[in-house]
Amino acid sequence: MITHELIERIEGEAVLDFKTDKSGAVQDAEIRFLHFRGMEAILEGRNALDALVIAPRVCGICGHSHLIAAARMIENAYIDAGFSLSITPKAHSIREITLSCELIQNHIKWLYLVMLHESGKLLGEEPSVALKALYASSKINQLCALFSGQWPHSSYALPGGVTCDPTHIEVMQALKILSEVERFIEDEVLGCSAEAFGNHMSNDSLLLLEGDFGKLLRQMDRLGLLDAGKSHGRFLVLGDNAESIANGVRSIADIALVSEDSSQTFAEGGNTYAKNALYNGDFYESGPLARALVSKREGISVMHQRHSDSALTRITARIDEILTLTAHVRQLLTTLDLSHPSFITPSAIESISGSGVGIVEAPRGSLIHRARIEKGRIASYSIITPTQWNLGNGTMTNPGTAQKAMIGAESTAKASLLFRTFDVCSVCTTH
Amino acid sequence: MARLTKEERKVSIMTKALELFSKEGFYQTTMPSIAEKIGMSVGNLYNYFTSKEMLAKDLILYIANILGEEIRKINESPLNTKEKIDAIVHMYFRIAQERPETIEYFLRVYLSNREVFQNCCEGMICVSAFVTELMIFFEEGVRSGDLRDQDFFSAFGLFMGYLGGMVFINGEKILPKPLESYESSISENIYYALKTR
Amino acid sequence: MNPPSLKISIMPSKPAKLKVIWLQGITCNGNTHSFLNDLSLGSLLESVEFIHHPLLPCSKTLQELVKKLPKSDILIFEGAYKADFERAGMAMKELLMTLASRSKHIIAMGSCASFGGIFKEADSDHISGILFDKEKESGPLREIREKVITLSGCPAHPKWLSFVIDMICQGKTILVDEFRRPKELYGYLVHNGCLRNEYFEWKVDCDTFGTKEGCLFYDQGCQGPFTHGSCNKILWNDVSSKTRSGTPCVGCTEPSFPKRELFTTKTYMSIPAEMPLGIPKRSYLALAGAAKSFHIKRLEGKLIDDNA
Repeated sequence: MITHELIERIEGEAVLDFKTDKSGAVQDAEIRFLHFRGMEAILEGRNALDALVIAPRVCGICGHSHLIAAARMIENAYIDAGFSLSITPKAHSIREITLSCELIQNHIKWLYLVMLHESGKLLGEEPSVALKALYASSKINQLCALFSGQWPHSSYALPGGVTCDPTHIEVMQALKILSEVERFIEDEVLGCSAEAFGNHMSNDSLLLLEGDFGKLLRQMDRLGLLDAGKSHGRFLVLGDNAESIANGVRSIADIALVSEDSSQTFAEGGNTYAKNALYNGDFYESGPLARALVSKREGISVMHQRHSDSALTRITARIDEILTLTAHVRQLLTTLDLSHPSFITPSAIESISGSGVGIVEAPRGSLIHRARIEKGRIASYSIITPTQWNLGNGTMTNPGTAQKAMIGAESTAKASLLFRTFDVCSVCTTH
Repeated sequence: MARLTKEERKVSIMTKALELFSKEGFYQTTMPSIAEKIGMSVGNLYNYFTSKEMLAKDLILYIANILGEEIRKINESPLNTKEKIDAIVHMYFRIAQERPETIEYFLRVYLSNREVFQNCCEGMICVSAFVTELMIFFEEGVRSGDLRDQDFFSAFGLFMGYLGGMVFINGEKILPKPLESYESSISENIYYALKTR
Repeated sequence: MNPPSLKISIMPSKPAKLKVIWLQGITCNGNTHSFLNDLSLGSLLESVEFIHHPLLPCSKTLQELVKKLPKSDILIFEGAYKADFERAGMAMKELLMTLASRSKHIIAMGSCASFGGIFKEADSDHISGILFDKEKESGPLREIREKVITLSGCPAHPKWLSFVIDMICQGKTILVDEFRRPKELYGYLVHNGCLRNEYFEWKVDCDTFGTKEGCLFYDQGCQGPFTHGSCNKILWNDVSSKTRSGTPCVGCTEPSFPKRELFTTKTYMSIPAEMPLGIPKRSYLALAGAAKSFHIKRLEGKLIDDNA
């Protein structure tokens, strides 16, 4: 039987076309995205610096990642054009801080607005507004704004550094906010200290956690989904520490092996606007789980050995990443050397003709901005978003990462929930 | 004859002082010599201007206002950019002929004795009425696509330096022909130097 | 003992919550996430309830919404409008027009909904705001323009929205400008309250990005002096703004957004092409020339000098 499900609450919508057997179990799932805005075409012809304003508008929840990707892309175009360009350690750290904030708020929203909500509904509960989570995500966005001026849709990163020139006042405020967010994570999300959480991962006892994350796991457990959702077990990180893992073999990831496949798109007679992103011709999983495995984070590595790339491991990786990121932000804030310049003025953009690639590890995985710049103007622009890696639309014999995770699910509703473990973003996927 | 108001009296003093300054130079001209030329007591002169420097400053403001007012009329006229250049050159040379003391004062007193003006006329404050109108002329010329976009001062120097130089050598009696006979070629030179390519 | 009727009258009955539908057109969801930054969201939800919202718990999913388009007190529209753009299989023309006709108030949330915004650039002939298409009042809701409140901005600030909702809740009249933007929010310019105002007053420019000193209007393309918005009064995320973090205002609340060359000031012969709002060019230049003539030591140095 074929059924169509409209998936909402994913930064827009997607349609899943399920093929089910008599028992209702999912045999195949086609993933379709029906909205397209044409961001790349909007960028083309403009001054390259305009990308720092336009590109963030690809996505309301991860626009800051698009900003940093665009800034890095232009910086690399300078270098490609034979110009020297560098940013100070301070500018680099500030970008890392604001980017990390975006990931943290994303993960908190995903846990409360998407996963707890949808799993609760599936169990017949009527979830209320998670005000405490929205308070925490607003606070972390506030930390970001101390440097970036605002979240969402800041344009504070430019080739050469950042526009802000913070004082210790901002740093002290940021540390205070961070403490508040850390308390929220320990008290509300985990219900225990970060250390105890680590022990639960090692001891495989996460279901005992009292916080909201534990609640989610118990709900997923009641739905019988913790062990479901396994996919190809191929992972990719193209940003910092670029590495791919396939069949247990690690290799340094090479951007040259990235390709896009538009065979499923409307333009080529298909049913979606989304293009598949492939690495070495295959579907790979990108995002928190990939990052945890590539950087050999202990708890997630142990969980992966035990549970492979199941929903349990994937969900835990995203929560665990919150802790890694808050620790990272704390370390950056306490070591920030404010005496460095924020910005080193590069040559005029009009003198630049070259190609650039900007890669960012965004909330959902590796984000790539590529462009060709001619005398400071954007001649061509191409964006590959993280969700294009995870939500690729393959065939029955070679399904995409999320497709494979859904196949075999007991029902379409459960498959839809597994789909959400990848943290779906509709607007990014098609852009 | 009706009694002059204080303002009118000031203007009449300035007109006389202008002649003296532009002829004798700033330092050769003194408050007593000005008073004498007008036929008033030195004490009374100080009722109108508290010092020679203040008088000198009011004079440059006065001249800048005259020139500014003239260029403003041209800016607000329906002429095109080329015609406006003709009109500005014509106006400038006309004033140089009819009231040579104004341009002379500008060149020989204001620009040549900056130390006198530095405390009361920083930068372009005292000539702002004139410079503002030229800014508007240039800005509109570029906006309309007639003139090439460039730094204001490189264009300003070309235009005003050229006119000032011509009036200066005319004053030195170096020019073989009357000043006005150069108007059209000078306008054309300015236009071709500034126009878009 | 009070008679029962009196007792009832002194106990104010809790007013019914306003019913709100949040509908999305062609959007990035930036306004949704901006809205979620409201630290007083809990208080707001005391007086409104969402029939539909793209992320918050609500009584109807989008799919349920399109099955029977309900009445509402406020329809919030985020994103640009295109007649044949579909949500849950229903064309925007039908979806928006029906929901709008059944709603008492309509809020265009963000610059896409207000004027077309960035996404209009992709298909300028067919994409617009719900009431305005750039400056032109030719959007689909022009017949019911009086119901529309425009909250332009990319995104709009959460407190701008909660202000409008509070005013509606309390039955107060919202004064609006020619684009139906609340005057109390858009009467200001982004320039008002900018920490760099003194540099503007004395015409001290900024020779590079990344410093606290200097005004961004002269070289860096700041549109603050002619962009309506209270960004430097009602701060972003309660702590900052673009100009406070050294980023030029990009004019995102105006129908002209997005312009081009956003990080450079367009000049004609060194004179800014766009004057501070309402200031005649002649007046501006006269004053600027005067201000520029002074060299003010304090404004030429660093604000915070480590040798002090």
